[in-house]
Amino acid sequence: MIVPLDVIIFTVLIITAVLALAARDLLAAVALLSAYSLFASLLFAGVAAVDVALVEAALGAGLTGLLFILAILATTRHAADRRAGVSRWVVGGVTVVFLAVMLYASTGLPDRGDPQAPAQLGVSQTYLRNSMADTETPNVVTSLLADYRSGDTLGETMVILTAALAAGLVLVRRLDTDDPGGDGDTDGGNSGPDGGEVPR
Amino acid sequence: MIEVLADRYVYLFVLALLAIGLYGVLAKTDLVKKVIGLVIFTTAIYLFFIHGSLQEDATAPVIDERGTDPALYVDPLPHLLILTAIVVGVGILGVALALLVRLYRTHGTMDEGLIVQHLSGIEPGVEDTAATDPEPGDRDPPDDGRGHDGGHGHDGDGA
Amino acid sequence: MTGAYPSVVVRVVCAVLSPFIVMFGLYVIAHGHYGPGGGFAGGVFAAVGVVLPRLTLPEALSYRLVPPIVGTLAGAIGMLLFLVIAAVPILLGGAFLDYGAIELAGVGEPRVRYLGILLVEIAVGIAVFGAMVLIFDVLAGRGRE
Repeated sequence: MIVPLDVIIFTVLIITAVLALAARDLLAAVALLSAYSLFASLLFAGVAAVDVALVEAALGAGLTGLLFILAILATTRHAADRRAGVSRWVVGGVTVVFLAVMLYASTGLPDRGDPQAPAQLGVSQTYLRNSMADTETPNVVTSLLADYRSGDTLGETMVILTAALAAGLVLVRRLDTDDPGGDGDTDGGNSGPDGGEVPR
Repeated sequence: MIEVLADRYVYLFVLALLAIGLYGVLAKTDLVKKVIGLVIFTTAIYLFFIHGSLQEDATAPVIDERGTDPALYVDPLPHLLILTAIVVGVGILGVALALLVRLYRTHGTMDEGLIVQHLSGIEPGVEDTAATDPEPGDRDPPDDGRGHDGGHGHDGDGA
Repeated sequence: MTGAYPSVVVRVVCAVLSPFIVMFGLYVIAHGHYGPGGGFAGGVFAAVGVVLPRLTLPEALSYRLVPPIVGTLAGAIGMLLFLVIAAVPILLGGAFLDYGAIELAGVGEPRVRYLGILLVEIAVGIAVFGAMVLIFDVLAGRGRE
């Protein structure tokens, strides 16, 4: 990838991230977050991770923003920016310590694009060599996803489905009531997180 | 110095993004802002991981007529891991946002501090969450009589 | 947010576009062997094709086209399909998820693995489609009718 373009996109990423956290209007913050994800997917495409770029563009820049907007419209648009809780100095200190530790750790990492990096010499060479012979699949990411590491994929699919069902269980129970304030039980309790009435 | 920067600038940028995300999660009191910080943080980790797969003069991991020499293609394994991580991340985001909407319906605010105050019964203004059990420090809101037999009723405990 | 959008241009364009988006999702699932794509990306695209009418068309229409139960149902069917594909090789003497153990007349083992990958991608695509539609419906307040 062309390095100066890389640097420009990373700078845009930092700017959008800061603005997304600083915006007082939550819808503006979500729009900036979508822009952040879109530029991240450009970076993914730039380092030849085409599958990841495709998913990030569809999910990170598309559906994530949509879900945020739905949640914001169901609640409130204005960020509650009360200066309370943990002091900013404490948070700043924690962040600086985190940065220092990570910077120290990054000295042990290989250089950018180093073909002799330990991660490049492991099992992925086997995958690249054998994918065509084993599965007739040119796209190695697909053969990894659905054949070499399909157990992984099975687990991930289960996690996604469980997450979606959990979101449903958290929200749906209270749809058929009209009191938005209290936590009162309703007749529709059979699908709530409690799993309905406990027979005691 | 310049050579070191040219080889390692990715780490610096990713670290900056990680710090921004961490600051957002820790310092913002608005819960939606916290989730936004979380998304920034996870995307920075994806960027770091994918840059670990990069090789000079290598192309996307789709085998073409040049043969199967691994030096010609970038490492496909991080691509797979991050691909699934992105999708799982959106599933988790769905759960987080559902919990936020639920919290807002119960407490009428997105402010972390106010929700904690309501839950601990300092401000008995909320309908029936703090009325039946005014014990301070009780993190689990009494779920109108059914919550105190333990083991379930943690639906309001998202703060 | 959801429901009929005021502008007729937006409504018509989204109504015309959404079947093609679903079709592009199917293409991405089927084309995963040869290019970027696969079950995850294709499932998300298909879900976007379903979500777009819900954002722009009248609710009565869009929720009659694709009822809210579709999310849960597709997720469950996709997961079940994946588990069945994973379990069939055990019955034929192989290991869990080892589709190479399935013997088809006149088809070599790499080709069987190729077909197994295709089936798994389809199953993953259906499951991801269902999960994404379900999350959208839940957050839009139409999770269960």
